[in-house]
Amino acid sequence: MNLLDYISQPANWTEAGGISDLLTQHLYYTALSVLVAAVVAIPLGILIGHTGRGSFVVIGLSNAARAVPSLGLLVLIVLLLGTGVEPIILVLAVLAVPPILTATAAGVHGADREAVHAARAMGMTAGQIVTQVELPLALPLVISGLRSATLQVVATATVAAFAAGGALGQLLISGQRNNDYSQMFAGAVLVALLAIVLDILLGLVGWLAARRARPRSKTSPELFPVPA
Amino acid sequence: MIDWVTNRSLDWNWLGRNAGMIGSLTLEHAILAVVPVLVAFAVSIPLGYLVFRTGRAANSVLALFGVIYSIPSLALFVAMPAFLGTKILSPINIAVALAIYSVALLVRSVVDGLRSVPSSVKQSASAVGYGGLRRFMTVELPLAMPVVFAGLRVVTVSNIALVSVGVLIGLGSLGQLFDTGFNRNFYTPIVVGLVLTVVLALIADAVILLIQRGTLPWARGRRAA
Amino acid sequence: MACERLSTDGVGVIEFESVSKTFRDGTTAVVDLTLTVPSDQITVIVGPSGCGKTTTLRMINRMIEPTSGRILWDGTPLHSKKKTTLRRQMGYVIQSGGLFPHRTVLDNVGTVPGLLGWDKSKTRQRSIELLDSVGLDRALADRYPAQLSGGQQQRVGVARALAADPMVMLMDEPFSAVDPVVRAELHEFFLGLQRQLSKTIVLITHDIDEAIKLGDQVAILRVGGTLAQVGTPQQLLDEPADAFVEGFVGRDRGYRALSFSSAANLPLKRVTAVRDPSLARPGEPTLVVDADARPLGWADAERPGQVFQLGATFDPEQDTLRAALDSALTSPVGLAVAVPTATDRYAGVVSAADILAQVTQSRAALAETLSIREVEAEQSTSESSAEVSSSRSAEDDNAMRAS
Repeated sequence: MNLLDYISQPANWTEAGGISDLLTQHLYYTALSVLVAAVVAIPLGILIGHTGRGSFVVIGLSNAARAVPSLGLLVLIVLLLGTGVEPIILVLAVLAVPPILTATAAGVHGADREAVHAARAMGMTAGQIVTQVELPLALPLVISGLRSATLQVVATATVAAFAAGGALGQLLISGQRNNDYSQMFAGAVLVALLAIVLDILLGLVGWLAARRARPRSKTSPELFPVPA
Repeated sequence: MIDWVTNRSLDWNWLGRNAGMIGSLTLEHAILAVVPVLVAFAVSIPLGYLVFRTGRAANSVLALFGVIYSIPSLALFVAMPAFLGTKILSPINIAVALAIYSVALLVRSVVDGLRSVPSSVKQSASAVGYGGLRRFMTVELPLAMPVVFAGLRVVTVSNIALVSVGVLIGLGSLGQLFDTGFNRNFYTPIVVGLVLTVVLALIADAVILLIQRGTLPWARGRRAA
Repeated sequence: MACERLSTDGVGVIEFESVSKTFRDGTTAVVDLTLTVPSDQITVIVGPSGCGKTTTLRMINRMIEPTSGRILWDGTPLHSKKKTTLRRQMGYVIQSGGLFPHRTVLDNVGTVPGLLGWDKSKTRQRSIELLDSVGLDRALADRYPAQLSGGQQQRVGVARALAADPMVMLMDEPFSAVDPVVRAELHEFFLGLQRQLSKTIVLITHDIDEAIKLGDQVAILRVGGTLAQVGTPQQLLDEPADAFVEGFVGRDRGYRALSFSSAANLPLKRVTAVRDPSLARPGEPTLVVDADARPLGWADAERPGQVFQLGATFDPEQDTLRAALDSALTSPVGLAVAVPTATDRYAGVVSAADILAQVTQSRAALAETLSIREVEAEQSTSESSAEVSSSRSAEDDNAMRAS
């Protein structure tokens, strides 16, 4: 049996519930949950970074998030709220919040203090300081946070299939059930490729943002990403 | 309402009956997470040094390693048999995958650490007659270690969290508890699994911190990058 | 007399009335400060670190609020004005420039006009004019701050502060972050600009040299936040109110004189020079040189064969007495080593005492320099006052005391 048997069959891509549908579903889960997480985490991160209050909570949260097994959180929430799209999105979003929150808070807090001071001295209001100075300077780090969050979500969305079915993780389950390793391998390769492509894309966006925020500076800020 | 709460509170009887099983799962979990880190640590020091020596090319190599840890763990676990020829249910798959992640992260830490050594220190080491390997072992490496330790802590904690995912391909140690709980619609094992995983991560983190304090007394009170 | 030039009743005067500031942690920064900042003049607030000068400056644009007392601007209490409105009427320049790293030079300069809602083309036109008036090439307009030198960044900082034509300019150690050569250049540029614009300027510095050079009025604060003396530079030099002011003014006055005199006429002496440090004779300073007569260090009398670090050398053809004195003071044997850049060889040594004797012999006095500058200011000539430095040397007694 060849490893690429499953992935190379056009029918496996196009049939209802086939690879194309699962890929779309995976992307949909990922985009929606990162969006939900960003809506919560970015304003909160700005608030924490701007005021300098609560940074202790952020550090604790990001360390704890690293230690929590995503599978455990997933099954816990699915048992509590039932299987369906909403609980899955909720878990994925919860897992995506810490990296975005940490990065945003760090970026806003770390924005060139002299520039912020000058902005205040020139008569900018707090809102103007945030939107015109702190946020543009924090943008590369915010994107870096979105990148970590996206990787976390792509990985966990795969795992989610075991609790709720669907997305690319479905290929792993069906493959295991059918005793078809080439189907499992197809799932693994597609998930890995999806993660790598998204990682590179967001890395590129971050690089562009860093060039805008700190033209000609050699060090672009980046977080320490971890496998998910 | 009362039903809902009792249904979700911890079942201490179950815990008591299964204490032995939970203990052995925890031990297995710790071994499965930590052994790859130890192997990776031994590999990463020389590998990191070689990468560091390539100078500017090191950034490209590190970017390549970055690609490795963007691969989701479950995908890497499942793909392992294709490369190792192992059976899909073999624990080797998980151990090797975790070792690969660990190497990818630690090599970066080693390079970052070596880069953090001030060139004035390296120059004075050479000036008093330290050469090549001796300079690396006695001056550069010790000074790079705070950063390497920071990487070790990250990698150990994330490995401990990742082992659980292995249950989806048959071997997940504490992840087993999530499977059990999910299949039986039973909260106790899930909560126990979550708590034990986090506790295990905290203990491992503390142990590494203690080792760091013991072996690098000069770096105490400083913050590694 | 000089003090008559200060218009304390004009429009735009800033008055501190018994202002004190105690921070929440209990630190007292300013105590009972009463000070009038005349309009259209440069007032320099100078003092050692911890004297509350930054706090004083920041109270003017309400970045910091006084604990007691009040500050009036043009007769109106500051606290009756809205903070953001007030700040937009006052230009602000800080040490490191505080430029926005993510905006081009032109956009940085146009910040306040933008906040005031000027239309884009007017802002742009004004910004370009300002680049011209601060002496920056228009080609730099689209660069980012990181692509400019320190001196250029500081000029952009000044242009940005001037953009909305503020009546008041607040400057927080604006010239401290650049090297001495660029600083001297910026001083001349700044004085020239002020001759054209006549803004009310409050500038703070820890450098009395800079205060005397730039200020129409100088206020000296002492540690603890009390006013030691305020007056024209000449008043401070002629009639220091107390020993603190005398010491503060006197010390740097001598040092200042050193920076304006060439080291060319210093009497160079010879010392024993050897190639092998173990040949050094004990009891006399022995210089160790290499085969090309380049000095390597001083032989260590205590440990035969060992070499002390050389410290800084000076170039008698190009450096000032200040550089020579630095060299002597950092030398382990108290001798400055002369190494002309042209030959790169050891040319001789000179002691700190001989350098100070040279200062004593120099003629022109600091007071003379100051009166020249006053005449210049009254004539409002646009000549660079750089030439003045050639005629100024030192006021002998003060220079000696300074050491």
